[in-house]
Amino acid sequence: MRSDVASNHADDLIAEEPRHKASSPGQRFLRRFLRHRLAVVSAILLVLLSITAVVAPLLPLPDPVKIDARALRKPPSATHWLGTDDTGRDVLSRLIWGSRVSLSVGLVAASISVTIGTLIGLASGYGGGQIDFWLMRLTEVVMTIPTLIIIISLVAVLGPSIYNVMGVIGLFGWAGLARLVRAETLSLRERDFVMASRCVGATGRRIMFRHILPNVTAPIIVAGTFAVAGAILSEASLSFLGIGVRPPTPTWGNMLMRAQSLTVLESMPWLWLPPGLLITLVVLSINFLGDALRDALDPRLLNR
Amino acid sequence: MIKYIIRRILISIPVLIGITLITFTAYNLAPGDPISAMIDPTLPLSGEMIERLKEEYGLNKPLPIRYLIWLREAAKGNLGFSFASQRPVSQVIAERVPATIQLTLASLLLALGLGIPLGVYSALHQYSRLDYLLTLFAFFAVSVPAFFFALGAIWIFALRLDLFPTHGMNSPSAQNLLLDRAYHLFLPATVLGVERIAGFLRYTRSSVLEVLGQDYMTTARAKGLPERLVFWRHGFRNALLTLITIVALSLPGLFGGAFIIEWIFAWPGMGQLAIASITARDYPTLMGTALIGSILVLLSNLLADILYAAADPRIRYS
Repeated sequence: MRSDVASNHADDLIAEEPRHKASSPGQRFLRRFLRHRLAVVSAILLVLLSITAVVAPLLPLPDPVKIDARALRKPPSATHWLGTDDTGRDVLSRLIWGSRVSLSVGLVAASISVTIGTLIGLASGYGGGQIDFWLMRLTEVVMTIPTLIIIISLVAVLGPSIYNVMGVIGLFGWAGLARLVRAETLSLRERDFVMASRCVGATGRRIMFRHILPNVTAPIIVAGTFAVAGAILSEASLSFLGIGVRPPTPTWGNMLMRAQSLTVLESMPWLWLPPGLLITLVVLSINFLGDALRDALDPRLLNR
Repeated sequence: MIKYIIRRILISIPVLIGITLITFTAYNLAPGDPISAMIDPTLPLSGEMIERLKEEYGLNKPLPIRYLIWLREAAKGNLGFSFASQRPVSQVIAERVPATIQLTLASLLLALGLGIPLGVYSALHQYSRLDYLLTLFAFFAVSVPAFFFALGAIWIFALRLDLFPTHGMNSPSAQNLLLDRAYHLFLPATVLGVERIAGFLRYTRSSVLEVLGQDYMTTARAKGLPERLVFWRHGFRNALLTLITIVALSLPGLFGGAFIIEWIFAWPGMGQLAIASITARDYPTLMGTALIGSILVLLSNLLADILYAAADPRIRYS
């Protein structure tokens, strides 16, 4: 395999790999992935955060939406580790409950994008001709429009619900993936195994989903990972502007809304720094993870 | 070349139609309707006359016909009337376009000015300490939400250190207007530019690395050119070519980002107008900015493609 030659180009972000013969694809993947120390740390962090998000109702946290008039705008203390906001709600509790919303919006929106992108890419690459021409024009439209502006306009008219946010973000995030899948499909459909299955009478749909799709899963997984990061950022921007998920439901984005006031920005950093830093940390981790997955899953991209 | 430009313009027509379709669909989902918004609210009209006008405009026609009517009006420059300011949307937006272009152009130039040299350095000193640091920086730059970065920048540089203004585009008592504009532009343009700096840096790096391995570099070296000329004349120029495409691809993100940055820094451009129209439920203005913003990006893309073809003859003849 080319991958053995390519892996000699290990760079600073990657620890040197002991050279031994690859045994199975699974082990090879694991070994390449583990070389990215940052990605391993990121993966652990993301797993911990997801577990916290899932078990949030079981944790001994103050109610994230309950107003407490006796504890308004309190800086971090022993009772409120990250302080309270201007209605006395505990910031740490809102942060943890908010992760449920932010992470699920990210995952659902990315799944929508990945599904649409994969289907359009497969149809375009395998179908060719007129189908390809029109689907690619459609992809170009989505790539050319400033999607954030369209997402903002659509969510603004549809109303700020968590489902609208998920749907609209997902609906406009598939263009890059569609191009990627199309390019892979174009080269795969000329391969002998596709010809062979066509010879034994397989239908177009069967070839696309049983023979071509399994061969493009690697780039789809990588692009899907980056899509989750992008969707989390989009949700945060929308909620920050007040058109995403509406308060009192906490999300990382709408927790930052209050920082639009200069007084809060200057004198109450505990209100907006924690959610902002957490978004950054999560998105950064997902990006590290995606980068490592790309290296580990796709031998051709190793010597970038 | 002319042929190429014409072909390129023809290809962008379906994209333009797609943009208008999306905007019109969004518009129809909004309360009120695009066609009533096209009637001048300042005219003294009775309810009956408004009904007749709406009919003339085709409000009762089926959706596809209404789309065509809306398209015809938009092409004539009638984007409807702003609910908030009672003025034509096209006029309201036209006033805002220069500020947005100033901001996006400044941050694009900043991103190119920093991204390209840093990318070249990274590629020429691959795996050096600085290359490693720049890689980390690039990861951070694409992971920090732009609005959080903006808030942090205002907090530190405007509020704590008092180095820059927190918002606006000019001070009332400024002597030197150009200097004053640059002073106000610095923070928003930098914040908006950071993500692009990272992008251009990474693309320049990989494209220089790719060029370094090309045969014509060996040829240039073999004919005895000094290393400096080999790189700047043969390597760098070829590496820059692909960057034109990357710049074009980054424009939608740049414009979208500008909307949020303008809002935070109260920069009086189209983005600030758009976000303000959401709270005011001024849908004609919101949709107008979405449409004009998309068209601006489409035009810049067209320009980038033509530049690319002018710089690289291989494109024109393929």
